[in-house]
Amino acid sequence: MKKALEAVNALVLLVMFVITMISVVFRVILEVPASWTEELAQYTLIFLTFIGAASVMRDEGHIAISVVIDRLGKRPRRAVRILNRLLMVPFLAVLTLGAWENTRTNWTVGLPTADWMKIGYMYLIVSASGAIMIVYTLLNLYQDLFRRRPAAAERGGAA
Amino acid sequence: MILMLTLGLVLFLMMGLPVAGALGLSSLGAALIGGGPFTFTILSQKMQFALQNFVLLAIPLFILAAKLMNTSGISMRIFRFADTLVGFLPGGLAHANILGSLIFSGMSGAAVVDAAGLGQIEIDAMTKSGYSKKFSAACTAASSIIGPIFPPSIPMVVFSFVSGVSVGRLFLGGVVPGLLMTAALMAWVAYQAKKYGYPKQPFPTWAIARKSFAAAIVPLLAPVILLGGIWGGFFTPTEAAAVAALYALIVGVFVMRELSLREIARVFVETARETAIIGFLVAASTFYGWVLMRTGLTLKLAAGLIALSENPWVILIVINLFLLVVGCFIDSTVAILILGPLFMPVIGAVGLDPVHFGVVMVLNLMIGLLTPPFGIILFVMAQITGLSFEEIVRATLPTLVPLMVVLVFITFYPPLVTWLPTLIM
Repeated sequence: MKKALEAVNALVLLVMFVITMISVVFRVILEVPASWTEELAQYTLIFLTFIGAASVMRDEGHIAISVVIDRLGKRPRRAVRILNRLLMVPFLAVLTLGAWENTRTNWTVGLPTADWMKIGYMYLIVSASGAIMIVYTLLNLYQDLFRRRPAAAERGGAA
Repeated sequence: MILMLTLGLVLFLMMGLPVAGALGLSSLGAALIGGGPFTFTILSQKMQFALQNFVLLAIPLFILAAKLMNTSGISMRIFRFADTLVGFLPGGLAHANILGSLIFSGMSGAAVVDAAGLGQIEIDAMTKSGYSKKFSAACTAASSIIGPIFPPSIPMVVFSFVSGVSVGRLFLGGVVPGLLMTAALMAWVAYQAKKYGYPKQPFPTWAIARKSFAAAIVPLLAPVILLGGIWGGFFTPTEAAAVAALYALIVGVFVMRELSLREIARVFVETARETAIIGFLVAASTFYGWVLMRTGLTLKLAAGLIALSENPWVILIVINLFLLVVGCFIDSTVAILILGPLFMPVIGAVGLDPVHFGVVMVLNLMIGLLTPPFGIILFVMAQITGLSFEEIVRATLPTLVPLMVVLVFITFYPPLVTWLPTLIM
């Protein structure tokens, strides 16, 4: 599942790259500005972020500040980790449900530059991402509670 | 409401909750108890809307370009070229390390990518020639933060996102500070070389110089295309990032012949992953920013700081000291996203140039990448060299002196930052 998400994301990144190149070609070489490229490229970023964030959630790759909890003993650290997972759920639930509501209200609203692309689709992605993240969080929680090995060690830092 | 937002955020962050979750949760709490119109749909609206921003697209594309260049062998050629330029000085390879980072930073905008990719090559070459691992790691770590100062720069794209300042201006503002950092670090190396009698290479013959330049000409063209394209107005920073990635791809596949399809696929997967991490953070921070505005905390903070002193220099000193401390603990992207919206009104109120402030803030936070306990580059260095974290920390500490000197200079003499953008744009 996670591998599949990663592969899809790599493809979407490729699409983003190609669309942006098309916009350069149109504007600089053909001298016809293509505003749809800009809007579609932004949508690939939304897809990439939310679906990617879901797969990152599984192996705990999201940036977190671990200075304090690294200083804790083994048992309190485990307790905090479990608490953290429980705290993530309401946030993700609000995200998922809110996005679902927005999906329904925007289902037929098209982009100004590309009418076949509905705003609702984007909210559907956000909503799906939230749902996957909840599943992964609960899965990690289950692992914490009933298995010895914690899910991946937390490490952050992209920029 | 303010209490919930600030204390909640600090508490959640300390607990090690993913930063995006900490931002979202504390902001949700604050919005709920704060009253006023609020429905759950707003969270997803703000988070989704945040990413509908063409400038942000530059981030994945710049990461992609830098990763492609690192895997394609371009970094190696750049380092060799830098070595022929300055290798004959005492401590030659160390100078080449720093100059190579400057050249590489003309294509890359992230310090960690520089440290991990180019750094590996630099440290290998230096230790082979008899430099200590510690000194090699110190040079590599310190020079890697030139990457996000000299354009292009991912942290500056993020700052542009929170502040609304033009990316082009921020990029140009980083040129002189980036050169100053190079000069300051090379001065430090020269001092070390004299003190410890570091070796130098023979002065390159004309034939060798020509050969290394010829090998490096293709990679050297990348920053020219990139920066020339942005400054000449041919493309926006985002488009320039895509062009840079395409260039790296073509050079890697057809000129260097070192990029296989499998490696390209790996680079795409890695880039997509890092984009998601940053993007999710940006999205969550936008919701936080919206709640922050509603609490009125930014205005109160601005009023408070101005009550402290109306002198912009005093404000800059206070903010700089605060950021240096924060930078020791918090990831730089996170710090820009959380603190940028908090400080911008203050900056405006005391009449400081936002471009100046942006470059100062980014450099300040980049120095934080070199300070324990959360200096991400220190971890990368420990991983590459196999030295312990403590050894790396002690070796890197002296390089903070030249970097801090540059920070002080650009803080108190704004034209170092603002001169070039004003001249060109």
